[in-house]
Amino acid sequence: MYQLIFILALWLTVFQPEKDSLFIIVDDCGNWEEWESPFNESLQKSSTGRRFSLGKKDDSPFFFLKHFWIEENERLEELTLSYPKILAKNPLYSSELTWEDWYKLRSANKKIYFLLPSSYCSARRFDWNSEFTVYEMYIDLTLPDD
Amino acid sequence: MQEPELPQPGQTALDQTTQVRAWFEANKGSLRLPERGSNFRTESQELILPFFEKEPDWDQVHHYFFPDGREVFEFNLENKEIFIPSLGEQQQDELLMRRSIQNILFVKHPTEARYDPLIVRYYPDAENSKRDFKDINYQMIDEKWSGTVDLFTYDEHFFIGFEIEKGRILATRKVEVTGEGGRRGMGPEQLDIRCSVTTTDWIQIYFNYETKRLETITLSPTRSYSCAVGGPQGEGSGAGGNYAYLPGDSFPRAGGALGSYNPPDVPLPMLRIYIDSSITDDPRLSCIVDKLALSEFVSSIAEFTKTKGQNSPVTLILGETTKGIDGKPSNGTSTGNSDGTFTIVINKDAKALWSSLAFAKSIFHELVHVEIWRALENGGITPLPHFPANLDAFDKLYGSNENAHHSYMAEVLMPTMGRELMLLHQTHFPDEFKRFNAEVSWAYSKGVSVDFYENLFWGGMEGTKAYENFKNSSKFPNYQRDIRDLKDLLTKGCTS
Repeated sequence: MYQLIFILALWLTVFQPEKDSLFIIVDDCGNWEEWESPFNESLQKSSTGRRFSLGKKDDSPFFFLKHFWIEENERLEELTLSYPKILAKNPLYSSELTWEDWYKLRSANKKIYFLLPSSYCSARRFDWNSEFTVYEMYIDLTLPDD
Repeated sequence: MQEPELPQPGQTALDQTTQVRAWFEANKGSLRLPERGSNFRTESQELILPFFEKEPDWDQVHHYFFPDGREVFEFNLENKEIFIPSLGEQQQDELLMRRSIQNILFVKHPTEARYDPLIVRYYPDAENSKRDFKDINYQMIDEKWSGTVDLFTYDEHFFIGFEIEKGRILATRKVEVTGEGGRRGMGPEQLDIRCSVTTTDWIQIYFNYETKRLETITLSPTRSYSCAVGGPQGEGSGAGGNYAYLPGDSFPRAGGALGSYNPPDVPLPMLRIYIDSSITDDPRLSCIVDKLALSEFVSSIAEFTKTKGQNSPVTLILGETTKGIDGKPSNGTSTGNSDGTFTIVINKDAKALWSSLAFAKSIFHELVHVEIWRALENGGITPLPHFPANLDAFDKLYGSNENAHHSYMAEVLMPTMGRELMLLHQTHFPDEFKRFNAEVSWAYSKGVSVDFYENLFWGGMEGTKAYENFKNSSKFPNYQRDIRDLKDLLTKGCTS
């Protein structure tokens, strides 16, 4: 019995389902704009699902968050969670992240789920029974060629 | 570009080495002019060493290609007879003779059924540059080798020479016999600050089978004009750094009618880029580099090698890229090291994040930096088009006063870089290219154009005047669109 408990504890430690995931709330809503991928229609042939991007409006013209894939096996996830459950994930807030933070997150080899401004900055966030879609996205930073 | 597998002599009657040998046996009588081939001194003062019959060792061969695609077979010469520039002391001369290598190049004619020969002699400066045959050839000179490489036509007319220090070409040299009394008026080439003049005594060393000793014959002295590459004599070079032998003119058109034998153009000796295991251990990245190496333009700049032990002045690795003053890392960096070598570092995050074309693009960009440095060191001789004679002056006119390289790339090279990246995509990633074309038809209704590929490069040109102009041009919104959305359609695929 003790052995079983030990194995279970070990499994939970090593294989926590959310160990390799991270949640970010995009709370500086005015700094971002969202647009649909121009390829949604043509890509439906290989894999259905909405693709879109979130871009920063400031002086980082090539800093995007992308919910985008081409083939089905590359599909990024969507989760439906209530706001309390999202908060329980110890999310980061985009307004608090520096460029260096974004850069590290970009290659952190974790699944990163985002609560979008359109959700966070709506009154629904104060309705704790509401559920939100969080989107797995990747960080697309265009670096200079030195 | 790795050296292809060596042809195995004697495998079949039709193997490549046998074909070269058969051609040579059938044609060697017409490869020289008897009436002049034994004449050391001529009125034109060109250096013509005494002719001796060359016997290639058909078992010792390098097989490679010049950057322009011509196939080359380089055989060792069996002869014990060799010409060397005398060092003044018999013992020194014998040591030089023992470490020197003389080979014969057969350059396959691209359209005709013939192999044009040249004699190449490698004269190492010191014992530590002594190499076995297998470790050196005209397109594979390692970064530790110092000495002189001289090319002669088959009938011993001096063709072109290079002075090499630690794998880098410092100067080209021409050699001509001295006039009466060894005196001669100063020519314009001698007045150039980049040129130096030295007098050399050539000697012929051969093994005398009767006395069983090495015998030395002293030939008339010659004058060598060594000029930093790109000096006045560089004007005689062909496009892309090729040296052409044009009879009847002075260096490098070294004179002398050649009858039925046309010596082939030769490129500069090529230096190698060593691909670090951080890249070769990753099949995808390795595949991308392999494809990049097939690009005609890239191969005119560099030859890649993955062979351990093949040192090179340039190393390509995956690693941490230098952070700029803003603390931000870059896609890639290229650094000139204090020992004269170069290191190209590609951001290690590329491994997981970038599309294959983006990876190729960044290597391409960094390669151009290295080639610019090399061009500057070589006095401007480079396959890069319209390379400015004075890069700083060019930058003052067009650039940022901060990064002359990027100014030149943005002002001059951008169409070439875009076109070459497009060709790479089209030729070596054909499935992706086809799919990409179909999917971006809303943006590029007539098919994706070179603009897209140029746009991939524009991000690296920030800070130049050209970038500022580009930013204010009607092309900029398309650039933003391409970087924002279109590049997402490029995949991480790469299949050999």
